[in-house]
Amino acid sequence: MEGYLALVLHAHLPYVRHPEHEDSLEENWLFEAITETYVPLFLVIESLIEDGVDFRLTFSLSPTLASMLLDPFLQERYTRKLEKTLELAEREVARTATQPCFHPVALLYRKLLQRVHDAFVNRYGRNLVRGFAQFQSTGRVEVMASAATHGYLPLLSVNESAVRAQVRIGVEHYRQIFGRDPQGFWLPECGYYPGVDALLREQATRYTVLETHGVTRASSRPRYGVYAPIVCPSGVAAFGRDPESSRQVWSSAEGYPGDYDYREFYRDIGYDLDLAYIKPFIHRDGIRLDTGLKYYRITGPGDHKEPYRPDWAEQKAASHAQHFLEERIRQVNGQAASMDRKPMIVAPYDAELFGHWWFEGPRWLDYLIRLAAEQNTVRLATLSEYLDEYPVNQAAAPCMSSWGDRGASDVWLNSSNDWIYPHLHAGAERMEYLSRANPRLTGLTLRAMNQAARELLLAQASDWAFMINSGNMESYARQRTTTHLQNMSGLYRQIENGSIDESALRELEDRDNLFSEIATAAAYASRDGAAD
Amino acid sequence: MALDPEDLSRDLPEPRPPIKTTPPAGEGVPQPHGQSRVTLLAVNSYLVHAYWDVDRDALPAPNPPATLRFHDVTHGSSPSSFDVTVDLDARNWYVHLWSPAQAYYAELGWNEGGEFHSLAKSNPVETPRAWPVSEEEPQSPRSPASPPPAERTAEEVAAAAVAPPANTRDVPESPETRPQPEGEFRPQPEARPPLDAAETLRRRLEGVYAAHGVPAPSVTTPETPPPFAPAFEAPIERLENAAEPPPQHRVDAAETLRRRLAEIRGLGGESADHGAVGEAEAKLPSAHVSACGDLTSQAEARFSPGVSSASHAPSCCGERKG
Repeated sequence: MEGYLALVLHAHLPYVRHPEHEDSLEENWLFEAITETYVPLFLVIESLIEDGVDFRLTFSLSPTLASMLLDPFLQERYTRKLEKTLELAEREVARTATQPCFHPVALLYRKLLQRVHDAFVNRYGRNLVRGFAQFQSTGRVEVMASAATHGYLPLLSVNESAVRAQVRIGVEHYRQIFGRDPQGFWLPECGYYPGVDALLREQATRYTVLETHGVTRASSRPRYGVYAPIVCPSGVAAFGRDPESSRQVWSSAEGYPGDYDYREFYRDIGYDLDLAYIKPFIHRDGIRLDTGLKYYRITGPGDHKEPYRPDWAEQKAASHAQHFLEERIRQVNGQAASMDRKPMIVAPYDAELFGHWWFEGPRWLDYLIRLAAEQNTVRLATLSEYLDEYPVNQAAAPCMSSWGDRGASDVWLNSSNDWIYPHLHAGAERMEYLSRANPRLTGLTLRAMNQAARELLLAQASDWAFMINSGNMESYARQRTTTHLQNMSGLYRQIENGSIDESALRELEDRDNLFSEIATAAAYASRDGAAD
Repeated sequence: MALDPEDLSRDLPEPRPPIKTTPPAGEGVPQPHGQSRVTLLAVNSYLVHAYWDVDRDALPAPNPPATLRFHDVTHGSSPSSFDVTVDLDARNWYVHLWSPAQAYYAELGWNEGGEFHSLAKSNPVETPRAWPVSEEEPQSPRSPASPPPAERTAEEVAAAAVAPPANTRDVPESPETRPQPEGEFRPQPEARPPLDAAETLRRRLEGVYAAHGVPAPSVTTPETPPPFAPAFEAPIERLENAAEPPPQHRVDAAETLRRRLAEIRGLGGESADHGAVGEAEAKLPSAHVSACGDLTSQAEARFSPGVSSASHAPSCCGERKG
């Protein structure tokens, strides 16, 4: 036993709940991720536990995603959507019966969807948060907390109250749903700035994960690079992302998911088949959508695509898992002799990569974990276990950093999205003012203040600035940002004027209903103010 | 429906709320002229963003050219400043900088008669380092080994994490202070369940193939991994002091792994010799982390302009997630 590997899967989606629409395109983000990522990962974990495999896996679960997974309205909509997709899969098995290239793929989808349905409805009672809690209770899975709405904290830090509220509400939500304190806190986008660790520490958080250079460019040179954590001035441990293991999975040029044998994401029958046939399974207005049923493999760099071969892809997943583990063994062997402790390799990924974008990702993970259990050089561990074993670590203040393009704040602050920040900062000042001016309110005004805080939190999501920057779903992201800011501004005026429109407030509470049991406004009070 | 940001600005009732906590002039950060405000945000090591609101009544008529005066207040360096002429109506500006890892605040104002007239003073901002610091400063504080009780104050928490004397490298914890891990985890090989991974994988593969009625293919024998390359070159004194590792043990781990995969792949069936695992492996450069832990070149390669996703999603799947 000479070193550790921490696999960290960051599960996050922005809050996309639209009861005002019969058929919401954005809710499909959640539904696709449940079908293709979260439940398939649960199936992997279930099988590992059933087979008695010794493993460790870390998730970070964003409060917005957790809130959606807990929401009965979305659970119901998702179940209907899943059953509709199952119906499509049944039709596809029949349609492809005489097409030997495609029929095995249709069978694969039907079987996968049946297993997902059985798990979601029967084993988890439509509540996947229950699954995270169950896995965590086995000691094999550790779930990290994260910021309330995935705010990019370095750019909110002009108002410490805004960052404190993101952290405090995120941790409070975690305590509510898991009944325990989190060990670790995932900084959205790995966005670290000097001082945010103190706010994590206020919530009794032990560790966080930073982009590589957040650790390597710390105030003191890290003795072991990113193979051991450093300790922030607050006492929170900061683990740095291992660049090599990240590249092997993430890189567009070298990463596994781009292998030509893997399934092609962009050839979906929602776009490929006749409209008359596929119409019952796409948007009710006839807008073609991804159905999740895709029959081709990546094949090569061009547009020509060959049919998907599940057996080839399965072999590749096994090969890539072996390669990944061998590389980690090589890394550990290279480090162990030069360190006074076992090296830790931290490999964080977006959870949604696995299964959704990289269809074979859950299979790769399954192979990797089983192979890791069969050798003694690299052992899977959680980051809190590492701190249990090595409580003494080098002191150094990390460097401002993120895992975004260019490694700092460029993605979330540029000429496309800089208009957001004056409003976010002004909104935080307003919340701070309201919560300090009205510390003991009850009734309608308190409800309005809490809803104003929810609206501001929703406007702060890093997802909107990201989408505006990328140009993808830009109009939706702009609309979400402005709508939440206007809602917040309207409530602020009503509170200041002492004339609260209760029916409008109730409508907002019903629509933007996350954190309904958290005193969100109080979280903007000073450090010593009551959070709940 | 996309809303124009300008609509939003019109909707906001006033530039700022009546903040009661703003320090009055002369106490803390001065507020030179009424409601004028300027805010700085660090974009990266060499770029700072400034935005402002201005009380036009505080400006002489006709309005003089506006200036952002940046004050360099980096710790350990002599205070200095430089001016950037800005268009006041733009309400925001991007300022490119010569050096990373600097601390600034800015004043928005105008120059007249050789004198700078300040309208507003910004928050301080620090730009991040662009490379590692030059030397390791050895300290070994104790990281929090277990979550403190929720009722403990942050001060108590911080006190619990106070470092041992700064010059001690490896301070052992006393039995009294060393908390016990909550879980059962102990890195002991004997704790492993006697699982036959090869059998498990074989069973899984067969199950997959049987489910889809396809023959189980064989895969070419994996290539020998690239030559051993330490990914982190430790300081010389550490290498000299380090105990010699048991190399045979290490080789065995990798060998065992390869053997097991080779077993799994010996299932027979049609050849799958169409892929590029070996090529992909060959393309993967071995990582080298310098003794200082600098990963600059690798990080910058990863953050290539072609990868627009904040999450580095690969090209086959990088355009959808928000």
